[in-house]
Amino acid sequence: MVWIPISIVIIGTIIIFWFRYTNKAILTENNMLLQSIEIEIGIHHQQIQTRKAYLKTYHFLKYNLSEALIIQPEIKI
Amino acid sequence: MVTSLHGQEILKNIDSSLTLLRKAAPDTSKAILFQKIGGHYNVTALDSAKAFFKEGIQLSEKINFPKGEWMNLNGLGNFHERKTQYDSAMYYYNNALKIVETLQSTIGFAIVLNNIATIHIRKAEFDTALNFLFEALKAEEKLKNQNGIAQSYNNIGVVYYYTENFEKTTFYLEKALSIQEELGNQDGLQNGYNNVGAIYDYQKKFDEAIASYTKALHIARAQGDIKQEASFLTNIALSYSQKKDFTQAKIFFNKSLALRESIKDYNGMAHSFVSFGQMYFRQEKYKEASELLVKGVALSKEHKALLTLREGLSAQSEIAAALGNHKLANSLLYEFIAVKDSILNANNTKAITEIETKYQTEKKEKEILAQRAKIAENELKIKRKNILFYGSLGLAILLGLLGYLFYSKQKLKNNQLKKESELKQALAKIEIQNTLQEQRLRISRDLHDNIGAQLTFIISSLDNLKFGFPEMQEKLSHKLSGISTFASQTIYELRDTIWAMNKVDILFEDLQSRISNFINQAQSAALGVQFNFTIASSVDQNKIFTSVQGMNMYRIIQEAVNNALKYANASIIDVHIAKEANTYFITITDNGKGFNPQTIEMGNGLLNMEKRARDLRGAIEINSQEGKGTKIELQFSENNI
Repeated sequence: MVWIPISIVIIGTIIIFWFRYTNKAILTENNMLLQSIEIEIGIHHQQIQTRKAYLKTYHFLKYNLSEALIIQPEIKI
Repeated sequence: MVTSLHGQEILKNIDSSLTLLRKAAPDTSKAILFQKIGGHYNVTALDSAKAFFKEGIQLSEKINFPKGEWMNLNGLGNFHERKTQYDSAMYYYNNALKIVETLQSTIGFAIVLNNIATIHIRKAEFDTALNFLFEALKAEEKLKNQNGIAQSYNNIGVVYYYTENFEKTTFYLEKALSIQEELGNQDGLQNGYNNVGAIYDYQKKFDEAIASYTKALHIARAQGDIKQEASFLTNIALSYSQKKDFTQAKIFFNKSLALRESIKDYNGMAHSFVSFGQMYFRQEKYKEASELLVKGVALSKEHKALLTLREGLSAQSEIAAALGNHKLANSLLYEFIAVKDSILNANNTKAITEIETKYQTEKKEKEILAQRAKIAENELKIKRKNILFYGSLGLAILLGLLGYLFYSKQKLKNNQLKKESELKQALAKIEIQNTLQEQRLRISRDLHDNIGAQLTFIISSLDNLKFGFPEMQEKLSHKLSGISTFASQTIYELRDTIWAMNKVDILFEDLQSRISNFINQAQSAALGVQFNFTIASSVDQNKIFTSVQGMNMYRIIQEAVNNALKYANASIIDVHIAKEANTYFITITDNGKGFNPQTIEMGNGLLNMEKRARDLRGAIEINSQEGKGTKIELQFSENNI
């Protein structure tokens, strides 16, 4: 009769470890995907910030618009 | 009455069986058929039976069929038993027993042992008989053969009857009868009823005894078993005799004797003669009694029927005593005692008791073993149930765990998908925003480069025109200068508009910095003028305006300050920004020469300020008096922005 709880514990442990292993794999894969999306967002954000920074250099008295309107050729339109 | 087994079964259709026998091939079926037909004739026509058994034995030996051999040997033994040839019967039974032992056939063992026991009973060897009977009973119990068990009980009861242990007789006979009634076995029932009748006789319940014997008689007649019929008739006659209904008794005795003579049943005849003689003795008809008793005793001695002999000698002794012949009476009495002792001696009784004890002990041991087996079986059942219960529980736990883990996994997946979806949405949004801004910027750049360049060309051409024609009319020159200024102003406004179109918003702090920068530059250009730029604490430094609003506010201040410097000849210029409730107030005040708003014609600068105030959905108020400076106040609501 002792074999019943022992078997249950062994099977239960195997199942738990298997689930933990697969969950970890899912998390890792998903985190990589999220990270790549975050990097892309970061790039876009950086480009917007760069654009803003250039626009901020527009001097109301000098009217230096050609210095403020800087094209970023890496952006594909 | 004792019963032999497997040697006296009646066939329902003897003719078809005989036909079948004639046509049958010499095989095992035919050997069995010989035994069955022999058994039938054992009951219905005793003399015809022997030949069938003999042929059955020969065929079985020839085809090497031990089962057929022992069954026919057993039948032949039964034939001799019914012929009261007990030694021959014993010979064939023993031969059958040897084969049965070789075959290790439990059923054969039970049948043959029971039959051997009946011979011992008939020979009044009760201890030996009981030994065989208990062995047979064990074999039958092992087989769970209810009919065999009942037969064994019956025969054991009979042994106890003859050994005058009536308590045990009743016990075993009732058990036997109960089983036979349950089974509806006619052979068994006739013996049972007969034996129960004997017990009633012993208890002097003669009417009940006659009724029970009569039941047995009907069954025997129905089966055509003449020997049994005669036996039951004698028993009925005995009951009537003891009841002192001598007329009826005589009728039944005569019927019985006639039947027994017809089948040459010498033992039976001896019994009938002795019983008949006892009846006459009770009636004190000594002469008739003596004649019958002499015949009965002689037959008993000849065929070793000890029980009948005992009864006959006892009756003869009593008649001799009644007639005053004491010497003969004593002689007969001694003879009676000798026979009686041979039947019921102390050793016999002891042996019987020992056999009974042995059987009961073995039975108890078996019961204990059975009990233990049952306990073990129950324990096994409980163990199985426990295993089933705990197994199911374990399975349920595992399933629960599995369900929980699947749920958790799904939840994790959903969370990840949600995050992924949110990030993808954010990416799409920022991507669109970035692309649109970049697109707008590129269009703006094109506008600036093309239209700006063309306007610059126009200005340059106008300037060249003025230099190329120095003698042109002053009015025309003034007009060309106006167009050139207008074109320049258009370029500036175009730049502002393009900038505002690309720049989404502007922080008040940035705007403040730009205004300060402008005032500082103005201060550098007009050193004799005092500039004051103040901002009320009610204005939030972090307020965000759209770039268009910021530009309009800046240009109004710029225009006002430029006007103060250019036309008012002011020494003090104040720029103040405040906020009350939701309304912003921008005030530019100078202490210059002022002007009369009623008489002065509004120039481009003032008109531009009004236009920009409208763009801010606000109002601009210009207050000036000649010699008292000018105050320009712009107000607009935060809610209207």
